[in-house]
Amino acid sequence: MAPAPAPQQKVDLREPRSWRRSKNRIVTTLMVLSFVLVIIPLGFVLFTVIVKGAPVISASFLTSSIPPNVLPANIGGIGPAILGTIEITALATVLAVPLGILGAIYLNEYGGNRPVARLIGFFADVMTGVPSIVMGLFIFSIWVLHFGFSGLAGAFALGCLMLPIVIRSTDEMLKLVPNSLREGSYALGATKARVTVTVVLPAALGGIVSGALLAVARAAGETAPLLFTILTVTTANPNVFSGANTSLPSQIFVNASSPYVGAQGRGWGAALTLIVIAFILMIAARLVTARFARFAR
Amino acid sequence: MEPPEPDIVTNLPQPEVTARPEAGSALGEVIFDMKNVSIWYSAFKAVTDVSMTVHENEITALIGSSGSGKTTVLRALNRLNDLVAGARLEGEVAYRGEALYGKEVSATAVRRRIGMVFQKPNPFPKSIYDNVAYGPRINGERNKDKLDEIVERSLRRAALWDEVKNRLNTSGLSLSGGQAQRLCIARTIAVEPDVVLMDEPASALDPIATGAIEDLMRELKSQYTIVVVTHNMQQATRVSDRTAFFYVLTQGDSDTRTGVLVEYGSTEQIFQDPRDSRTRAYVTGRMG
Repeated sequence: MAPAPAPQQKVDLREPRSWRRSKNRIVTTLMVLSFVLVIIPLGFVLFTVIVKGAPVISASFLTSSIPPNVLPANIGGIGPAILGTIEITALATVLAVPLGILGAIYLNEYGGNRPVARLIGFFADVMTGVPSIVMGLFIFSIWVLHFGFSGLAGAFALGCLMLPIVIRSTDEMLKLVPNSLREGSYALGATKARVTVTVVLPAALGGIVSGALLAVARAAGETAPLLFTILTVTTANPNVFSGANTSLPSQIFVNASSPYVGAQGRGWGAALTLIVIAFILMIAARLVTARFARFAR
Repeated sequence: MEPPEPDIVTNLPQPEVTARPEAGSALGEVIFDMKNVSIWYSAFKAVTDVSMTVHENEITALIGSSGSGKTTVLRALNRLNDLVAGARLEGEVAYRGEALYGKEVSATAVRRRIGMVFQKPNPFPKSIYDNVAYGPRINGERNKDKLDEIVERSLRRAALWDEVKNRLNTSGLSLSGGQAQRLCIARTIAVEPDVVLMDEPASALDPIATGAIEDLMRELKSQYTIVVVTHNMQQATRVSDRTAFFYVLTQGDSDTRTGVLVEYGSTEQIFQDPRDSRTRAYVTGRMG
C-alpha cells in the first residue's frame, strides 16, 4: 500500500492587500470618472438635439423650401440647405482629397528629408491649426470680392480646411506601411512609382479613405468658412458654380440667431439632420476600413 | 582565444581575394567581383575594404557576428542600399564584368536580374496569386494563361504549390511563417532572376521549415547563383559551397566599429582548416 501523500502546502494566490492594490483601484476609478465626464456633455447635446429636432423632421421637412422665419416650425423645411451642403461638400471633396493624397504621397514617398518637403509638412501642420473663419475670410478676399458669392467659393474655403487634415491622415497611413513591403517590391525591380501605386497605396488605402471621409464629415459641419463665401440664402441653388447658396450649418446659425420660435424649431431639425449626415459618413468610414482590410490579415 | 586585434583598419592583413580553386570542383563563371568595397551609412563606416568573388551556380554563405556587415554587403549586390538615405559605397563591384555602380546602370534593371529574399517574410497584402504574379506583371506580362503558368511553376519550385493550390485567392498574409517565406522565394524566382540574394532566410522559422528552405536552396542552385547571409553555422555547412567570414573590428579607443572580411574560401576549408585565428574561434563556437 502506497504511503499517504504528504499534505500539500497551501499557497495564497490572492492579490496582497497593499498600496499597489489601492493605487490600482484609485486609478481605475479616476479613469471611469473621466470617461463619464466626457460622455455627459456629449449625451446631453445629442439628447437635446433629438428631443427638439425629431418632432420637426419629416419627409417634407427634408425636401421643402425654406419659408420666412415668422412661420411656425411645422411649415416648410430645409431642402435647399441639404442640397447646398451636399453640393458644396462634394465639390470641396473633389478639390481637396486628391490634392491632399498626392501631397502626402510626395511628402512620404518622394520628399524624404528634403527641405522643401519638410517645409510643406510644417505648413500643413500649421494649416491644421488655422481657425476655420480665417479660411472663410481668405477666400472672401481673394475670390468672393472679385467673383461674388457662390457654392464654389464655399467649396474653396472648406477645401482649404480639409486639405491639411487629408495630408496629415494620409501621411500617417503611409508611414504605417512597413518598409519591408517597399523593399520587397524594389527587389523585384519595381520603379518608385510602381512601388507606390501597386504596394504602398493598396496597403494604406483603407486608412486613407477613412481619413478622407472623416475630413469630409468635419467639413460638412463647418459654419464659419461658409458665412463669408455662400451668403446663406433661403432659395435652392442647384448651380454650385455661381450665385449665392446655402448650407445646413450656416442655416442653423441664421435660424438660431432668429427671434422666431418657428425658425428656431427648423434650426433644431437642421441640426439633427446634420448630425445624422456626419454619423452616416463615420459609419461609411468604418465600413470602408473593414472592406479594405480584407488582405490585411 | 586571442584578444581582438587592436590594429587600425588601414593596417589590416589583406584577406584572400578569391576562393581557392583547389578547394572544390572547377569554379563557375565569376558573377560578382568585389574589389576593396567600403560602405558608409552617413558617417558610419559599416564595411571596410571587402574583396571577394561569387561564382555561378554556387551557394556562397556570408557568416559572422552581428554588426560585421554581412547584410550590408549583401544589400550592396542588388543596390538595395541605394534606398537608405546617406548610404555610400566606395570600391568596385562588378556583376558579370559590368560595373554595378556605373553611371549608366539603372538600379531597377539590376534588381530585375538580382532578386532578394529578406530575413522577415514580407508577402504583400495581396492574394497568394498576385504576390507571385507581381514581378512578371511589373515586367509587362499581361497574358493570363502565361501568368497562371508562371505562378504554378514558381510555387512548385518553391515547394509551396500543393499547400496553396486550392486557395490562391486568399491573402498572402494568411500563411504561416515558413509558407510565407517560401511564397517570397516563389515571388523572387517568378521573374527568373540570375542571382538570388538571401538575408537570413530561415532565421524566423522552425527547424522543419528551415529544412524545407535549405532543400529548396540546394534545388535552386542548379539554376541560380545564391548568396546567403546566415547566423547559423550549421546551415552554412549544410548548404553552402563557399563561406566568407566577416568580423567586427573595433578601432582603438574611439569605439568606432566596422565590418571586415577576414577569410574566404571553400566551406570545407573554412570550417575544417581555418587559417585565421578569429575564424577558428568563431566556427568552433568560442566567439560570437
